[in-house]
Amino acid sequence: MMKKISQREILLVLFAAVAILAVGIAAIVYDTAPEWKYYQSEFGAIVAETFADVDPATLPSGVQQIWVEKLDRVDRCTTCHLGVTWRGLEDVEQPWTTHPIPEIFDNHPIEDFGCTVCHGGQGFALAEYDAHGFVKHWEEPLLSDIAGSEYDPRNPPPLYEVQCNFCHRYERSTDGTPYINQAKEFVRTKGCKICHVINGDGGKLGPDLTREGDKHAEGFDFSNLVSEQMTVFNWHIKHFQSPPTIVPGSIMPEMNFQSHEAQGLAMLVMSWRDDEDLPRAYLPGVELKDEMTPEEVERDRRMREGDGAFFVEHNCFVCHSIKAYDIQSPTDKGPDLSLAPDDVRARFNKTVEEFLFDPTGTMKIILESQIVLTDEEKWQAIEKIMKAYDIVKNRAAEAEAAAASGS
Amino acid sequence: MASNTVNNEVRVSSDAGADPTRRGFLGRLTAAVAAVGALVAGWPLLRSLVPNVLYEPPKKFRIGAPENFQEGVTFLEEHRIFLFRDSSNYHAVSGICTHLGCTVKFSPFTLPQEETVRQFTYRALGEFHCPCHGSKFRGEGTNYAGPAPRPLKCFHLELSRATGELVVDVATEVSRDFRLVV
Amino acid sequence: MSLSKIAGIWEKLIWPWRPESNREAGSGIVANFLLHWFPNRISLRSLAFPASLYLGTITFVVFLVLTVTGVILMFLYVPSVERAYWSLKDLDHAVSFGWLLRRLHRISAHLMVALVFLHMFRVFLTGSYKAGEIVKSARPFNWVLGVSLLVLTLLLSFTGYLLPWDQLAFWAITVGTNIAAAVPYVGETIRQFLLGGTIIGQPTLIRFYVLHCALLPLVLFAVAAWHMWRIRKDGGLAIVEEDRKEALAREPQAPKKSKTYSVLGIASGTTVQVNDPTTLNEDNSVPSTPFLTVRILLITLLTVAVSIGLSLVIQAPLEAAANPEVTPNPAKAPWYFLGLQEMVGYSALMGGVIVPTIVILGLMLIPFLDREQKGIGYWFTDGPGRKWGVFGFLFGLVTTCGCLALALLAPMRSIFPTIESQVFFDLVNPATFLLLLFAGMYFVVLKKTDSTRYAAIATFCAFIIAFVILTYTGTALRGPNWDFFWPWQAWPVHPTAL
Repeated sequence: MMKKISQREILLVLFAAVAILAVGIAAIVYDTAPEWKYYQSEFGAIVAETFADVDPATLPSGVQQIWVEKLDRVDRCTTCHLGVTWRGLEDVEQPWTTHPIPEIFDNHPIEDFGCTVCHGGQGFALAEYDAHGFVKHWEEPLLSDIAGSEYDPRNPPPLYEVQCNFCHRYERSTDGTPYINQAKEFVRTKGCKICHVINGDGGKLGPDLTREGDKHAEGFDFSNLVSEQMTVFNWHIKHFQSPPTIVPGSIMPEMNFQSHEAQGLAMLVMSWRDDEDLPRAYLPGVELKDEMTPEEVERDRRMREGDGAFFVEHNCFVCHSIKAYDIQSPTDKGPDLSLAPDDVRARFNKTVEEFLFDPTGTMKIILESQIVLTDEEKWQAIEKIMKAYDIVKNRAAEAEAAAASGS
Repeated sequence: MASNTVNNEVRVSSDAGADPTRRGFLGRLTAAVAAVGALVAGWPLLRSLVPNVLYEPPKKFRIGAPENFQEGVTFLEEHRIFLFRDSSNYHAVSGICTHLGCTVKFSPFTLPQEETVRQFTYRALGEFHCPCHGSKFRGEGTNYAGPAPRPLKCFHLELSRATGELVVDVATEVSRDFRLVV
Repeated sequence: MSLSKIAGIWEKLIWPWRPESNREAGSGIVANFLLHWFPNRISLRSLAFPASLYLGTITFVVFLVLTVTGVILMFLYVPSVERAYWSLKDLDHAVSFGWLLRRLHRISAHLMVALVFLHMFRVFLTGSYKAGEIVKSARPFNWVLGVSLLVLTLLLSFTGYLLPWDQLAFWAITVGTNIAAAVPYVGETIRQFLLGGTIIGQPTLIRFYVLHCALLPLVLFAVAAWHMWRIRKDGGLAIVEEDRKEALAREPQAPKKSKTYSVLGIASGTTVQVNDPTTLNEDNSVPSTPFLTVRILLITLLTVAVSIGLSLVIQAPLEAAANPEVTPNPAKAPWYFLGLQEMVGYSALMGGVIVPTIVILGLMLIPFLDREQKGIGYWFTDGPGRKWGVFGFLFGLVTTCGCLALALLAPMRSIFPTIESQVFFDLVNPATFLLLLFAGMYFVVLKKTDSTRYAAIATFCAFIIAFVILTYTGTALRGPNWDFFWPWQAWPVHPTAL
């Protein structure tokens, strides 16, 4: 006969097994009931109320993600902020509301930009608190009015302008960024570049500010900043308002900036970050075109906008020059259309109208397949050709008269 | 108790000793060659882990034209170097604390002072403090407080023959009185 | 498949776990792969909680949890400097139960380090490193294996610490590898071999990753298996010396050669069991299956439950992404190295190299310096042992606090401002004073009691309290700029960008 395990021991094992079950179930429950599910179901209700014709089955469900590979960002904000690209939800509260400036998506499509590149926050996260980024060690919190009102409760500065200027840095002035535009104006008028290198050139009396926005909080001396907010942004504001207070011995002049002006300047300075990794497509004002002389540019413009524009639009100029309108063909495969009336009669014994409406040879092939003109367009062409003919004839006559009287 | 103690060790046969026959010699020779062979085989395994090329920033690099630096001290953040300019005299001090590698901060004096440290007299603009463990260094690099065991390094400076820019060589240390005169 | 056939297969699978007789229990041990680890019978003294507190078992269970969570994490983590941090952010936010995996792995890692220390304390204080006299075992060697396991555990934790590639990880490893560089002559070479270059970068990350996920776990598992094998060979936990003494008291003649059950069947020969005078019978032992198996099941379930429970409430930190240009203030090594970092603040050579080397060597040599064999398996050996333990604790408390106070109030460099020699400060500093004081105490107690065991107990207890105090100081009392803050003093606020 052998001993049996005591009942106490078996009870202890049972207790341990129950404990594991309990913590395991707690862990599963915690993970399977995220906040966003509530926001998504509420969105369904709001949409049903506001729009009659939307099928609830087509609404987004599950984690929504915008992966902007070029900017090395992933944004999951639209998991909760479901209405941001919709029209018609302007009166709904957050997080379901339409974007307050919906025009922004016209040239900043959300698939190419995401959200955090303008607004800050933690794109990875799926819970409000983490996503809005006011967490320890996340250095890009949401640039919202909440953050802005720390600096000016009645008139919070639009902090997202800092992010606008990261790309729009080299523009003289940008629509929608009044604080930044004002600050840039100050940079031009107050002579900052006399002492500081900014955007590549300037003086050496003060530090180089080209990448001032990248300077880490550890690199600033906060000992003279007597304030609730120990932030770099606040350092800059106070420094602009009174440099010698913040940096004893500083020779930077006090320029009597008002607080919103100092805020704008601080925002400008913090937008000056290393943009070497920014893809060119995101930099406004960068033209990826061949360089042309001013004469070439002007001739190009005349060709597109002048009287001869018709022939450029319809590609006639590929083979035909029209010297009356200063249109130069790149190939000159066909004769100059200014002399078409004479030409067509000589070669085909037809008028221009007859030829255009009943072409032969190469033109027949072209007008049937490659350049198909409506009747009205053909009449337009004929009218312009006749006018060109007149211009050329007049010029020739004038030239003869000038030659006769001159020499 | 001694008589009840049992030795648990394995008994080795007492006639151990080298086998004097040819067979024995060949056996020992084989063992020796095998041992050397094992070492030879093992050498490539270990040597492969010592890199011959490094994907690291170059040790000798240009930092810009000498005219572009302001008088006094400029901190080059990505290289962790302090560049000092005194009209046309330049010298570079490492910003890496000799204790455990943190980046030191420069603590400027309100007014530059004449200092003599270890028989070397110079004009000090400030001193260096390390935030990690409180080490402190004089303006010319000597450690005088905290756990840092050695002074801050000073690096060789020269002008690039091609572009005329200042070139720092962090692989070449120089003494603290080194000055590049431009 | 009839019901009776299924029942038959089931019976074949589980009979070793539910034996109906002692013979079946013994057969089960040799018939089942997992059970062959255990002896046939286990002494009641070994089974009891106070003998071992099951610390070794708990440590091994925690190691298994680490392995399981670690393997799954290997599918989700990317060891590239561009992607490591983001893969962890995704783990925390976007992977189902990613937060749980990460927290469980991290809390188990810290638990394992703490547990191996506690297990070492238990083994030392019960004198279980002693060979014994009745049957001379290899426990001293097993103690050396154990110290190696301690070092391996610390290395595993250290290599894992870098993998998140955040500021905490990057600078902790900067500090740690710079301590390694303090070794004279070869220090810089060691550091560069660890880093795979001259700076911490991608080569470092992949080296630490391979060490952490492949090489070190394999080595640890092999040494742990050896460690367990030695326990079996030596007849079980050291408390079985008491069983042996009892058996000899009953029959004082020379021990008989007897049979032993082993995996190879019944054999006779010179294993410990064969020469062991103890007969494990109904009075002093129970079959391993089911008594030990159920006990271990209980320990495993409780350990896992506690680990998961802790993971529900304790978050795994993830600081800002690693930035080589910005040093956080303060920059600290992992907690088990903070006592070291505190001493390194006095002298990198003494605190970072000499003292740890002496500690590791000293630990390994304990069984060879202390040859007394009485009271094996009993906490503190006996009454005087307890007394000297308390003395050691108090001595350690006073001297450690004293050296700390000296370091804070009278730094060496301000006492001797004119001395420039670094060697002087490497030799004259609070870490050296502590070392000398402890060594001195050892010899004083040895002289007074004429017992290596009591001297060892006093010194070890002083070491325990010194380790705890220095680690606590480094963790909680050192703030920005490594300034000293009392626990009630707030640290200065960290400035942020916005």
